[in-house]
Amino acid sequence: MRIELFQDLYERYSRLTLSFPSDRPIAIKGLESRLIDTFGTTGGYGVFDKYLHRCLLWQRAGKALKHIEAFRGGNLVPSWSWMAYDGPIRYTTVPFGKASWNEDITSPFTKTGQALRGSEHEGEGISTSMLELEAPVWDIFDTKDGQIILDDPSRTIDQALQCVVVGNGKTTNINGRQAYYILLVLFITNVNENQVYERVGVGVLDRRHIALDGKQRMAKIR
Amino acid sequence: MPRRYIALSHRWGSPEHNTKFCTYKSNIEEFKLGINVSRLPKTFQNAVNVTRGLGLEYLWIDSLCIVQDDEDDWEAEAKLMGRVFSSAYCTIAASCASGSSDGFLKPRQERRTVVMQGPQGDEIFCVCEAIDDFYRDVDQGELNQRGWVLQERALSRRTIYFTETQSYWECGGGVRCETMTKMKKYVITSFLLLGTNCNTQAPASIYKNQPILFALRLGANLSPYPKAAKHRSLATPTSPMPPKNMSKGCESNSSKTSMSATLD
Repeated sequence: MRIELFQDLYERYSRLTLSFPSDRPIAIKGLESRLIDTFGTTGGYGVFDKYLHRCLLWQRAGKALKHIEAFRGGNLVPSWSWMAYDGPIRYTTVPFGKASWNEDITSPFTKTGQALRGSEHEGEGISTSMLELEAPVWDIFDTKDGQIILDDPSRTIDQALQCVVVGNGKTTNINGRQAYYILLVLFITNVNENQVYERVGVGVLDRRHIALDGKQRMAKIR
Repeated sequence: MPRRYIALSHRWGSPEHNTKFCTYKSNIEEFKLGINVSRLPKTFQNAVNVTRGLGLEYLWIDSLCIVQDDEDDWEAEAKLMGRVFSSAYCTIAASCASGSSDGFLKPRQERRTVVMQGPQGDEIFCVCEAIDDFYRDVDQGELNQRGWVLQERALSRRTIYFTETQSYWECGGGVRCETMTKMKKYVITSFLLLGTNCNTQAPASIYKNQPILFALRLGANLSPYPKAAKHRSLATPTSPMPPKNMSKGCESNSSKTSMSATLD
């Protein structure tokens, strides 16, 4: 119920107009804080830690999501948050109770605990590293017959896409395939021996599409 | 003692057709001394009238209560917007005002009525057009297409919508029309699902295809008037507590930029 509720709410909000698209994180902040409190969790930027995996699985509902270049006061909004983009979103369909979520993903809210909990102080003195997701990143062999949704299809991508496995279907579907719900990520840089990535889309792939037998690389997604 | 205040939910409107009446660093001191109501744009004047009509002295308007050219003030106040609306005694939604200069207390189209006499000739029936359409007037209205308005509406304890056709009242108990009709469709019990004292797990079908915002009346579990202590922690205009030595005209509380004009 709660999941359907926030999904409906955020999908709705993403369709509303703002004179300044950069107000996207702030114009819903009061309600987000109230939801965080009501759900008894931590979170921010469209993510409730309790429902982290489903919160991350959003996708564009229109032709493209345009990255918002600058936010008021130089605030940072991470690429895994739909609040960093202008345009309507919807949540990826994942049947309830039919997916197992990847426990290896750590949200920035889990790390900092109460620090970001529905607080008005959020955003003050927050560095990029504080808004990073930690997760293993995998290579993608190919995406044939898989579903890939880039946030901004017009963007030129000149390197191989990699992925974070958010969760997978507990059972195989009629075609004998098991759905893997993934975030598409791109390598940006190395910071202190950490590989830093950004989100560029979501997808539903099969086990065979992903190099899960390869070496696991922990990465930061900001 | 906590003071009640009204919060205004409105559209600024296009700059070509609307007066931009805002608080800036340059006029804040002047505004603190008082703002003559006749100087206010129409929508604000109407809000003053309604506030007075409700017997309240305080009115919160974003463009006046946030210093628009002060980045720090804007940042601080914008984050508190949720509390401004959830702490307000009532929210006035200027639904039919296209902008600050338009106003929302406008002449309305007269309803067509037919008067009929009963068979005995001693009874009179008045029949009139049905005009209740909360979905069209509020949900689909221009005001509700604005991003900021979503939380203004969802977090308010109660809202009076002034629309083209009539006014509507909305609170945790549902929606009522000025025509005295109660809108059954909008009475949704599942808003309690988010509350802490909710044990019922209503089936999803209850709110499927319903305006879910009503399920979000998160303020419904708050006491009607929050404890004074709760407000004391807020050194902001969201606090309905004016300083004791309130001077006439306007007052300002501890925060340097906080102000709310008294309506006298």
